[in-house]
Amino acid sequence: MPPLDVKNSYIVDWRQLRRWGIPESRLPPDATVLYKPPTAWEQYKGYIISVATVLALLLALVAFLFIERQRRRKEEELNSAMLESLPGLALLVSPQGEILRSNQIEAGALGDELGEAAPPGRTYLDCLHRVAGQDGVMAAASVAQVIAGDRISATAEVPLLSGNRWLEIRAIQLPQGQSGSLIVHLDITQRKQAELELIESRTQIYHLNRVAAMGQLAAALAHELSQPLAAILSNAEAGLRFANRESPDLREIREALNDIAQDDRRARGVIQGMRAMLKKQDLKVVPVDLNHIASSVAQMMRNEATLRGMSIQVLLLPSPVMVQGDAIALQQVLLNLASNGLDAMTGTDGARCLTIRTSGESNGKTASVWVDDEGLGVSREMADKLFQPFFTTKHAGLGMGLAICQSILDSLGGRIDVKNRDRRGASFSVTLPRA
Amino acid sequence: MRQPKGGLRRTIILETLENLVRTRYQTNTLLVLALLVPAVCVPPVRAQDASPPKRVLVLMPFQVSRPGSVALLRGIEDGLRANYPAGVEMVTDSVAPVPPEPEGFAARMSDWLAYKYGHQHFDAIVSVINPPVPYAVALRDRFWPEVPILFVLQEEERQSFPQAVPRSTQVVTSLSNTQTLRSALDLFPQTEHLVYLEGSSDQDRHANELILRNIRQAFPQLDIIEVQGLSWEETKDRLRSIPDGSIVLIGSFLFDRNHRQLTNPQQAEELSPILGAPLIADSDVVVGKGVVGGSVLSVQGAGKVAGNQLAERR
Repeated sequence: MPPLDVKNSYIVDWRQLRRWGIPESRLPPDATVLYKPPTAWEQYKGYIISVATVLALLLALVAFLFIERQRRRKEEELNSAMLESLPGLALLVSPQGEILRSNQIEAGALGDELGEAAPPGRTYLDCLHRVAGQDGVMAAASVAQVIAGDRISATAEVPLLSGNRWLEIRAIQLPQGQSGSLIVHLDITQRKQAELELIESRTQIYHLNRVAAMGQLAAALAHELSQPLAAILSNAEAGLRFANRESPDLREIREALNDIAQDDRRARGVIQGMRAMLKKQDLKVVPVDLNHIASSVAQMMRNEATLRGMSIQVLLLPSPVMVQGDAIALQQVLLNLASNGLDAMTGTDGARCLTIRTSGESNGKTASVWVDDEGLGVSREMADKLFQPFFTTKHAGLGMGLAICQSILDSLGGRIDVKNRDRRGASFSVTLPRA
Repeated sequence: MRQPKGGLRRTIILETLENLVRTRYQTNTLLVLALLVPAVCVPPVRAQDASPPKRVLVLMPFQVSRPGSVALLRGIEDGLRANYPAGVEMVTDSVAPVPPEPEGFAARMSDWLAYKYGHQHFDAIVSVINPPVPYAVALRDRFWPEVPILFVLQEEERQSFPQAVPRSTQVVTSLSNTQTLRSALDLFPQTEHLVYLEGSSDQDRHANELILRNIRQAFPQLDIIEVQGLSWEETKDRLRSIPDGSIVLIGSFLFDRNHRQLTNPQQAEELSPILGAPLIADSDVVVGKGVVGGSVLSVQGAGKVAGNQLAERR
């Protein structure tokens, strides 16, 4: 076997190196230095590494906490800024309903109302009850659901107990990871007042429209009244003649008086209808019979039609057609449509008959009343503008009639449509939800 | 009647199964079965074929108790044990004469070794440095011709280097003194004088002649001051007055003039405090006793190489 060569090793005694002043840098790289006292690092390497590791972990933890704190502080500042920038009183409410914090709103808006009544720590619904009463709390039931976590968001309008003041409460759940909800309160008193004024103005317009319609029907109504009055006079004179006889026939006198009473009732009905139309009142949505309304309008318009050499035909469903609406307002709508229909037939040839008819939709949810004329019909361009305010085809018209009709039907939850008839003329329909 | 082992297992399993059917305590029986079946089915552990421990005869050129011998033997044992787990039995002996060397020492030592170890068997013979080589070869050829010889720490420069001994391997060490001196001169480049410390025995004289011849060839510029033929106390006195720019190298120093045996570590420990010059030696057993160190022979490392080699030669 070949010889096995044993190489020398480079081994030195560190103490001798120091004794003779030899730096370790002069040793070859593979030198083994013996008897060198361990450095603090070599002696306590484990401890040093452990302590350094613990310190590093602590430092990392502190850094993490510091960064997290900074982040939270910025987030808090942003939230505060957003909270402060919100209009009205904004409250952060816990899922238990406790007010956690609020923005600093200026006194005078809500500060003297809910603001002072809702300091942090109080229960929100108690505070709301204090300023809005039980009705207010009930109106804000959806807000309570948001607080309890049952809804994402809600909006409620709540009247305050202090009178003539309204709050709009907007509640929204905070994003996932943050429990509680944000509730913003806006003082909508001015808006509410504007809405009321708008309703009042609308009522005024409706009333004026009715007055105008009645004015247009004045001649017909006069004629309507003249007939019973003439009949009353005639029956009264006849009754006097019967009474002046030597042996008056009481049966004839009784019949004359009955006729007088009947004519009087007829005249009173006309006057009552006029009074109702001229009376200014708010819309009241109640079940009404479309057949009855159509009949009454046809009755009111019949003399006007006769005076114009036209006729009115009424085609009603055999049974009452009950819908949700306001009888006076619907009469106003049908009067407008019938009056327009008569105007549309003016100047046309042939038999001119206005038809008022009722129908029920196949779905059973709505019913309609139709006003069909035999005029020139409605062009496509005209159909687009027909319901716009101040659009008219009449020389003396204001162009508000159909706009008011549409507004009334919008308020009642119904709609008005127009289409041309197959033969000639136009057909307006008023559709309302069934009662 | 004695049943065979397989039959006994089958009987146990069958009886257990019978109990399983008979008894109402099926759960308990299943548990017992679960424990018994693996126990009877697992084959019995077979005793490993234990090889007998390897017996090695180590012949040393000096006392076995010397630090160099101890380090070398520890290395051989480590190398063997790491590669031969069956066990190692080492028999060590010194073939060095105590000066003055008696007449016919070699023949009497050879007879003594034959008498002492001839009736024993060894798996290998280790001969450390050159002096035991003839004894090892003679013993092997006479009693155990197939046994390999491992020559450890041989220096090719020695005249008695075993050039062509059959079934032998040499663990050769380089000229460690020369390398040690070179590394010392690198550390102390201002050195002008080499103070060379020598023992007074024949073995020391032979070894030092060879070492000095190599040193002179390698470093002709060095002024070599030989300290030889003195007692130990005279040696120390002499070394107190060496010139500046000297380094002291411990050569082969087994015995002083008065046949006092001194180990290299002893010498280094006593000399280092009194020396005004760096002290160097060629083996690592002296490092830590007062020598500077440098390129030195790792005696235990050399022993381990030898042990590994022995383990491979089964």
